[in-house]
Amino acid sequence: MDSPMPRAARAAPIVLLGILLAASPHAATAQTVSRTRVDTTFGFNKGASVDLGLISGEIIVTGWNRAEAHVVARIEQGELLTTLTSNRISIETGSRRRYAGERHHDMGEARYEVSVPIGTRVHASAVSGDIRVRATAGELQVSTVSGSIEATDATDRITITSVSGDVHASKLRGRASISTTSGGVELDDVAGDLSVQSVSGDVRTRRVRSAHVRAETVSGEVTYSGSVDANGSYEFSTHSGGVRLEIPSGAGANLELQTFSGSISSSFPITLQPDDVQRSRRGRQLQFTIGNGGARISAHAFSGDITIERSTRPDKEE
Amino acid sequence: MDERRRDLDPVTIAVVQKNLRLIDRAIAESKAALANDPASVFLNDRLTHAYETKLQVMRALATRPLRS
Repeated sequence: MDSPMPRAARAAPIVLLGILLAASPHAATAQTVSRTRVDTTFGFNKGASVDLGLISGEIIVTGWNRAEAHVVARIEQGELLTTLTSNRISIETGSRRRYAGERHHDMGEARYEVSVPIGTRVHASAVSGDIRVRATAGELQVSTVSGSIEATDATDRITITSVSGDVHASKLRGRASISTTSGGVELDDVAGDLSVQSVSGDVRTRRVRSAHVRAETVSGEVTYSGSVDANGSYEFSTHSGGVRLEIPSGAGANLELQTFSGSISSSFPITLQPDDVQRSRRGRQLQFTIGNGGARISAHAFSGDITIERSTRPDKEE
Repeated sequence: MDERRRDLDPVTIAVVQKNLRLIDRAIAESKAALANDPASVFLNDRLTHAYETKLQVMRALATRPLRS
């Protein structure tokens, strides 16, 4: 009869395996796989997260009603570093040569097309690639340098940034923060706090239902069309562009409009108080109340014009 | 800007530089107006705002993650 193997001897292979894994440079990311092409479907939990990054190419993320994820990804040159689990999808582009200190320009175009359950948190970034996120109805964080961004149906915290790419977003529900350098911003159907900033891009918003809106640009135009909450604050600013606000005819607000060398026009009737006349002597400034007051609306420009228009559309379409 | 130059393509660098010049022009115009009306709260706000915008653009460029 064989004698039992000593405990130390039985444990040796396990210890050896542990040492080898620890020594491996990939031990900390054991689930990360390097490849050039992916086409797979697997179970994916609602509320899980997607983290996608590439240099050039395209990222498309779509929400659907299935409890699974479908991932199709490819890269022309370089590698895809993928982590695909039921709680997290991560795809990055990589290159062994890059690890030796080379720049990212040795990588080819990549394209990711990912379908995930509604409610998935999406983080996506690209340098010169375009990003489109549709119907995920979850937290969204998207950034590009020169690529365009299209986002439809996002909730909670929504952060979109771009340098020169344009941003088109709609059906945003939550706290949205959007910034570009030269890219234009077009928003439609927004509910929740909204902050938009650009340098030379135009900022155009419509059908906004928010109590807190801040939209500013340096040389671009700012347009706002939306409801006005009685307790809300609305701040619009540009240096050399114009500000155009379309306000519901039945809204109540205190408006403070000022431009240094531009003009101010309003389709709301304005009754100047004695103090208002005094203030108007210096530059072009108007302060007046519409309806019963309540909301605070300010629009400032240096050389741009400020235009206030009455909207006759039903409130639900604002 | 110099540190990120190696990560960004020349077109993007040119876009950022052009926009920084736009902000600088806004700063210069606000300063010129302020010289004639130093007590203007509005003009002081515009100048401060322009400086803040420039700072934000530069900060965004410096901290923008360029993964992969």
